[in-house]
Amino acid sequence: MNDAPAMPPTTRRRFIRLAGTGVCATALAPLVWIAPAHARVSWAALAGTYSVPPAEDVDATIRRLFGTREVEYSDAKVKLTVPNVAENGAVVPTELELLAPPVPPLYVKRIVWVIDRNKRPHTVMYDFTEETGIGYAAAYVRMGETSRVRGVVELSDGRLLGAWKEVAVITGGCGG
Amino acid sequence: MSERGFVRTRVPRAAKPGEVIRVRMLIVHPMEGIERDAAGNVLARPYNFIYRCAVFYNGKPVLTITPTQSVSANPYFSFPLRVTAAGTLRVVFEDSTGQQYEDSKRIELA
Repeated sequence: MNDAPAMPPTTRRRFIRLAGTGVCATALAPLVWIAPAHARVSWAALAGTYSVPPAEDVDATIRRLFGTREVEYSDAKVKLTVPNVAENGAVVPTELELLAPPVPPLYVKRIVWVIDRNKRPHTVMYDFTEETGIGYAAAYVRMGETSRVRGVVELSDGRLLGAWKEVAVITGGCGG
Repeated sequence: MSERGFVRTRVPRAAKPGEVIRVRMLIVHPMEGIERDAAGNVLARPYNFIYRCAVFYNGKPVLTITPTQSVSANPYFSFPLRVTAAGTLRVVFEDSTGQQYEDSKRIELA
């Protein structure tokens, strides 16, 4: 039984994939997934011509992700758990938790990690629904050098909460 | 077990209705980072990294994760899930070569 909802309109990427591999594309249902263009892999990736997104300043990243909305950085509301010192910048465990979980119908819509001094600060994004937007997410990230790590939480009512911590990195993990 | 694409999803076997469980996922994948040549220029080549993960519960999409090359190799992710009915949790990872990797786990109601 195909448990994916109806196929999305045929985008170029899906067409190329279907044409090239003959694999049915219903494995991935059409989600309301709006990855920023910077993090979105171009369809050309599948043709082997992926191009690295341009380096970006962290302020530009924040602006691109959140526009002019203010992020309320508060350690009292958002608990960001990262090591103070990361021996190996290639694997830095991070955990983010909303200390007061949102009361339904409010839910966490999105959590984004931003690492200030990575050349491309946008690191990973979780897009939640009511079933999963309870206010927790974890990821292991790469850091090129000692930097601030920020977690930003977007609630379903548009409010932005966040927390940041400075992480010292002994051996950079980006390789470049 | 250490082959690329091996996905381990850890969930409790059962949950009480309304309980929020913790889902943990690990996938073996190189998550190629951006490389530079001797001069420090970014090497433009088709990097292989997971750029999207879709999670479904009983066929309904409940989460999308969009990692970038700044996520560690063999990425680990964790998130909560409110269980209101027994069902199947299915996770599908897709990397930039178009390859998909998935895993399913059954969660019963306690």
